[in-house]
Amino acid sequence: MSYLNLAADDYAPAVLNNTPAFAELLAISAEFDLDVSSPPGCVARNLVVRGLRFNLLDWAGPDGADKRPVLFMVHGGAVTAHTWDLVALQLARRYRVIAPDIRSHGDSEWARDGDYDHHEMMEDLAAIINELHLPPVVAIGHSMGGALVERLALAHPQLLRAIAIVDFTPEANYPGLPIDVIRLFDSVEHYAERASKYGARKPSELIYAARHELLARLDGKLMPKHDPRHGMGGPGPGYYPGTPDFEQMKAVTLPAAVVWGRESFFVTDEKSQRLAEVMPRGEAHCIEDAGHQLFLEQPQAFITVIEDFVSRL
Amino acid sequence: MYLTEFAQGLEPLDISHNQFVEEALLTARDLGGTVPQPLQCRSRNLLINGLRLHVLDWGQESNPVLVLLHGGVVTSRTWGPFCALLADRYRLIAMDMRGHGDSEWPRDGDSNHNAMADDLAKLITTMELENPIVVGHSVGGLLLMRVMLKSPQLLGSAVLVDVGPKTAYAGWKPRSEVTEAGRLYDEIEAYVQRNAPRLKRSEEHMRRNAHHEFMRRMNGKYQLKYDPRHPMGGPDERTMPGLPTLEQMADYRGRCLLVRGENSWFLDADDAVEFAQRLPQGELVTVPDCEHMVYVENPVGLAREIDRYVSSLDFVRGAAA
Repeated sequence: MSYLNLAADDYAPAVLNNTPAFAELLAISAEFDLDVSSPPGCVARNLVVRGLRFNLLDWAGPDGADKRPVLFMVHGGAVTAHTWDLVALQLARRYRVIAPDIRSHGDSEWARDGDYDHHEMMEDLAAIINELHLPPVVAIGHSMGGALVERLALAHPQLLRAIAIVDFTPEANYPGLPIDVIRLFDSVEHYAERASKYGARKPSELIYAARHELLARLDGKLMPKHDPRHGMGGPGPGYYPGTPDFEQMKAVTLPAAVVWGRESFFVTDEKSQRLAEVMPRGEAHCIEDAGHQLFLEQPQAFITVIEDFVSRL
Repeated sequence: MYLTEFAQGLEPLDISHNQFVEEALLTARDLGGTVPQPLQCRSRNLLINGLRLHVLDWGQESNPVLVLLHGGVVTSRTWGPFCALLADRYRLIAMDMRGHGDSEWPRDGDSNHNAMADDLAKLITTMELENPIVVGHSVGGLLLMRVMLKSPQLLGSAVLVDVGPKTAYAGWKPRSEVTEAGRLYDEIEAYVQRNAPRLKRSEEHMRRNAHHEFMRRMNGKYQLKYDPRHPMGGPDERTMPGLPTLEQMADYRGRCLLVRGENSWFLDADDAVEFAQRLPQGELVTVPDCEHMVYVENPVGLAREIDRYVSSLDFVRGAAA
């Protein structure tokens, strides 16, 4: 097996609920005292837009005709749509949660031409929302996904009901990954151990994440499941021209939640507050005892913020 | 950035009036062919084995089906002039192999020939093709040989172009990483000037096709549209375990046409004769005035031979009557 998690092979969605990984997700949820009764359904499906194949996780209702508000959850750099699983399992009890793998990440196609311009990646998200004929969505973006959601809010506000920017601000403290450097790991544990340095996460959750964030190569090594030609990018204009600054974010008139971790290495309290203030309908939510991966460190606190925010729309 | 138009979603894209089709027609005419018009060509994406695989689908769906598999480094577009010659009588489905042309590059770099042969088998079942005549050149032929052994019931007939169990080509070592892009060009013209003499093609024809075989990187450089991790020909046990042998191929009971380029450096004349004799229903023809790239150098000669062969197949004659 080259991939360590299940995804759709062709046109038919892959049902994830009965997989060993899903059982593991329930066990991790129990460790956090989250609700594990009657878990909502989750499928992985392929979509082709803009000449690329995208994998998306669709926590749709059981009858497939899900009319509930849509949370469109965009993961950050170097991780995958499954990074949301822990909180998606709970949020999907009230909302339809859709989490795509952005281009070159997770189980989505790598751009053959190595085009990782953030403008193009934002347009991918707009195309996915259009292709699914979704009503205006609540777009939630973490880290680099937050950068994409900021662009989306400026370019295509009509596709959105509201936005939530999670641990990202203009001028974030992040240098990006070096482009074209291949990082290899001997084992899932090796990768999880390295990831553990970036936040107070549970060992079981780190292993779960690692299995979704790695692929096995023919040479037996494990490699992060994203195109190494993609630098992920610090927000500097040198990497990704057109990254919105504070001034530009004033034009976002949608309801907007800025959510961050008090201990984050990525953003500061000051800049997070400022982002919430420049947006006319912005509101600030700081999560205590959490870093950059706040929704994996304090999932219940994050769920509470999102549910409260969406309930007031 | 891509320099050629292809389907962006799962809906087919009509490219009949696209520059690519116009140029394929011009090249076919330059090489002495008669191209019937109007030409029909669609670009389509399929979902197979976890990948987006792209095909060019020429001609009317009711016509007898030829599935075309290109060789290493080139793409479905390389068959353009050949398709233009036959698109009035056949439906020609030219596939971009995984890692090539406008198909997805497998993220894990898996270009194992068993997996790639399965791509072909699934293409036939996904498109619900009945009795397709599958034409495989070079690496595409190596894949076809695997399907001939494993799933002969999927094939109407097989045509192997300048390839067999034994070849005179060592292949080349693939790059280890996707980041090792191989040769990058500042201008496509530099590629044309460099390769036209080596491949014995006119610069004009090379230039027309090259435009469709390159993409442009963000740094402005041009790169051929294939995954640099992809191994190209030559027996390589890591990615091509169990390359079909002459003895195994003797078990294929269906009719099979073997085509050799008259001046091929890839398939020796003696090996071709021996292979055709060992196939229970093998037939060997030689296309003149070409080396290994038969469909590029002499598409008219190849189209004539394949048209003649297919017309002799019982199930095609029956369908036509």
